[in-house]
Amino acid sequence: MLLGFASLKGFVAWAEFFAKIFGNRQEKLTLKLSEINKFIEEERKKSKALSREVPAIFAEIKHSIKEIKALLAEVEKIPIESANERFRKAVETSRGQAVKRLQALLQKLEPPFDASAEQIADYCYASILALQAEIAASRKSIAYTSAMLRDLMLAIGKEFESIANSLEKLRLTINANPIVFSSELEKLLREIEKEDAFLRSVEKHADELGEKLASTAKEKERLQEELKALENSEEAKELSKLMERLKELEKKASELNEKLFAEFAPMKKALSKLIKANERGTYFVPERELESAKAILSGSLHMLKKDPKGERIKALINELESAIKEQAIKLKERDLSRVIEYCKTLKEKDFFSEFFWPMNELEAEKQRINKELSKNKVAEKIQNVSQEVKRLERKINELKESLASAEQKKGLAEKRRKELIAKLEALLSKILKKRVEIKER
Amino acid sequence: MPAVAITGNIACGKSTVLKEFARFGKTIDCDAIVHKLYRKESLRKKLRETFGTASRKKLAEIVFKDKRMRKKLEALIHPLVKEELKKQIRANKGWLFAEVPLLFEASLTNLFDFVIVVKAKRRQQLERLLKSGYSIEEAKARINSQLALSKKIKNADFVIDNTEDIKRLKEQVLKIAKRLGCYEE
Repeated sequence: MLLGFASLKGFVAWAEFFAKIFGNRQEKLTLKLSEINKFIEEERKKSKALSREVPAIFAEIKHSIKEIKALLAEVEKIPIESANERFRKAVETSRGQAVKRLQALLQKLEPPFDASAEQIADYCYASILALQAEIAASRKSIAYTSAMLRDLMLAIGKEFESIANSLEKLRLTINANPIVFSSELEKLLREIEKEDAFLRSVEKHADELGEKLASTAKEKERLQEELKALENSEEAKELSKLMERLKELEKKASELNEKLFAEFAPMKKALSKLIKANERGTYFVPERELESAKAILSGSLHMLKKDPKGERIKALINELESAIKEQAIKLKERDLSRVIEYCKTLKEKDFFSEFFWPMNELEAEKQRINKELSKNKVAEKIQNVSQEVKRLERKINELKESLASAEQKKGLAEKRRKELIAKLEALLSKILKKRVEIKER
Repeated sequence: MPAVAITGNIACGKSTVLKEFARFGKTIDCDAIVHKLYRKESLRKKLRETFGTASRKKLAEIVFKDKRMRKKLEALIHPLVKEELKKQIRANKGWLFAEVPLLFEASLTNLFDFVIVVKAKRRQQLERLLKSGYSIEEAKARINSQLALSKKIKNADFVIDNTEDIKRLKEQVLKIAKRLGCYEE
């Protein structure tokens, strides 16, 4: 073949070019996509190929098959006689082989019953190839059998020739009626149908996503309004005030705590030494005072709750003084006088009015505010609505992504569909020898 | 940039393979080049002088029956195709894949860096040609007029076996594209 010389596509292109030069414009046929199937069906009805030509050809083939079967039965029956025993045996073996192969071939050549146009075309091509291949493969056994059963084998040969002619007639009928037999046409129509169904499902999905997105966005908007209203409500303003007050109280409590522990700062080293002396067993500190010493070192104010007047603290100071006196703990000279002096100050300190009472008042105020806060449900509501707004934002983003993916799929399906329609236009133009244009509507 | 020729005998599936390679680079179909050439009046004049006709259908009938006439026609067409191919290969900047049915017969191998041969069974070729509208005799004549597939395979860098389904064909194309380096995962 010469560089695609005989390609029909090329020929059509050439014919179109020629037509353009001489102004012989092709007839144009415009079809609606929705009416293509109906149009093809009507075109097929016009053709007599399926109703008359194919049944007539099939009848011819069936007749030949019947004849060959009868002839093969005769071939099988006739005794092979020859003076040359080796030759006789060779012919007998060849006859068996030839009959078996030809019978198998006849089965393949049996025309299909109630077949579609596509099946008829497939049968035609497969039968032509089978006939060619099998006769060539059986050539030797046919030749040997013919040596003794010449007339019968010649008759069989003629019948096979008749089948070959019928198949060629069938092939020409198929070629002459592409609208009926084109498997490509069927395939394209099926593909367009499939693509249409896919496109519809993608469009439906995209529409559903779009609706969901719109309703979710609306719901988010409504909740944002609700959130705004909640944040501007009297309850929210009250809440804000209470929160501010609570913050102030906590700040004051923290300052008081710091002040109390600042009082003990010069004593810390001595108290640590007292605890160690107790651990070593060089000085015994009662359990309650030991606890107070540890609480002071860890910075906990709770000890004052159990000891509002600071009596335990004073008892601890006494223990410290006694340990110093007994030299159970040793301090540097400059620290010693300072600690002793400070012990006196602490013993005179009014822990109740200076620390416990203000602390108590702060706690009471905090409790009152917390009680009011627990009554105020706006904070919980604001939190719930904010969480819901955030959840809807996430949902909107997910829906947007799904919608974009659906739109992309839709775009690709539309592109594929357009390509298939263009192919269908080209194929129908070739088949009908007219310029076919397919319109959506 | 590298130029790859896709060849093989008639109805072996060259065009399908070319279509698969389209995503890796530019593609050229020699059929299209020939169609373009046939539109030139200078060639049509020569054809009329040599064969008495410039009709492609009539020319096909003549050359497939007579080997000498085929040679004459090839002597007219092949140099023109070669020239056009050269031009397109030179102008191309990326990977180029060309379907060249008569790559070996027209001695066009030196224009390409790689050669891919597409093979199919004779029965498949015959069946495809029958489906294209040829008679069994015409189909056989067209297959027999070409260089034996085994000889083409011997001179190929890659062979694509198109005796199975399209999925298997696509796998082979991808494998070759990876080997050539025009496909990146």
